[in-house]
Amino acid sequence: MNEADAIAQLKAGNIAGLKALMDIYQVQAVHAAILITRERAMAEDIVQNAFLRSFERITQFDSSRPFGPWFLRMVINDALKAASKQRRKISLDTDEEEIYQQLIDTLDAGEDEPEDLVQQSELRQIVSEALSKLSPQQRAVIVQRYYLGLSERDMSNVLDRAPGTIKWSLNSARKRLRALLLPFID
Amino acid sequence: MKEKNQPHWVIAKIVEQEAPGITIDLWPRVQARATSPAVKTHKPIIGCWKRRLAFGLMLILFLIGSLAFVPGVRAFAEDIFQQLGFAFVNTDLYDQTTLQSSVDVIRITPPTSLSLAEVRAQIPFPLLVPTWLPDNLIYVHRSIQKYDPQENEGSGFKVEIDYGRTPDFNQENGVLFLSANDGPIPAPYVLAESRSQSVTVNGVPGIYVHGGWQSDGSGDPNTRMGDLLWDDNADDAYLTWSQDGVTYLLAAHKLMLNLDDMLRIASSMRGE
Repeated sequence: MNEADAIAQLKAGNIAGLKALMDIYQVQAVHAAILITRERAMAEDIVQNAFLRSFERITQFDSSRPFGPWFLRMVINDALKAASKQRRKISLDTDEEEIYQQLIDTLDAGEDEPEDLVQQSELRQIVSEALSKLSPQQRAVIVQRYYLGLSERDMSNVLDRAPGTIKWSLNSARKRLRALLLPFID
Repeated sequence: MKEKNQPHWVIAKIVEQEAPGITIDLWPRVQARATSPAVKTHKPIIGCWKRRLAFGLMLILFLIGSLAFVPGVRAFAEDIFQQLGFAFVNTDLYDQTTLQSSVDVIRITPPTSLSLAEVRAQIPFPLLVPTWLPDNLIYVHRSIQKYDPQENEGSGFKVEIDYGRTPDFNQENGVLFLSANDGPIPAPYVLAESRSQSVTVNGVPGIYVHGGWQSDGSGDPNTRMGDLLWDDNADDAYLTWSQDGVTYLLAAHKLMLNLDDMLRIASSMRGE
């Protein structure tokens, strides 16, 4: 069943349509929510509620548009609200574009070598910890831009912020992430 | 095969490690909740915030409309209530208000004056009129005002008899109004509840009020009402009572009348 068929079924009241949509989007949605909230259980609750809400509101959904952005917008906003309540923040600001690029290059290099794979695993752990130290808003823009691959325009729609604000938030998040990673770069 | 989008690749690896996609299956929980009676179907009565907002706005408009156009609702909201020939307002509720409102000036041509016999012939209730009046006060005008009996208690005939110190009925020279109706007086005076006095008029309960509303000067005599303040020293006296099924109202302006004077006029009322 493709997405259009699933939505048509859901609008007709057939819950099988919801199952089909969940097969398509649940992993991506849970992952996005985990990256923002940094808690799996909370992320799963958020996605679960988002699917139920989309089920309740499916008649308001414009079938001519893709379901993913509409649904992920709900997930990201809910995750952001939940994460903001936890207020996990650490202040740090350093601007090191080169070091961030070094990190990417390191991850990209020598993928086939066992030693590099070990190093990549360590770096992933470091990046994961660094992500946790970002503010929820910064995590949200990183997740949207680099995990979900949204454009800045799409992000401005999801977060209901001006594109300029998104650009600023993205830059701020990048800088923060690089600064957090700085001590681990050779 | 290497990922071309390295940041995406890194982040995807991180989250896949934290929560492998193969372990994510929310369907059983979602299905259970979606099929439970607690979850609304996808046709809610008022399903989204836009509809709720529209409903709220409609409700507010309805309430505003009711307050503006339905006298009963407006009176209830303003805590105005009628007793016999008066309507009272609780001024405590209005002591902080500085409301101003624009009004259209309406010129009313007075109806033709009727003789007492003509009045009595047209109304279905007995009418008493004063046989004693303060010095220099003369009869000026008699009329019958008709109200919709569906909306007003009684037959709908309200008698108005005007007395003045001069034939031109110049209110600056002092005037006395007598109203009578076989039910509460339609379009009653609105007076301060705190100034009402219970009195006995011709052996029956009545209400007396002395004083009146004075403009604070902020209005325009042609287009705008200013704020009104109650003035105990205003030369206005009001007396109302109900006798033999007929409500009477005496309203004296600039006649220097007190309660005794008003009671004396009332006690002189006769059916001739």
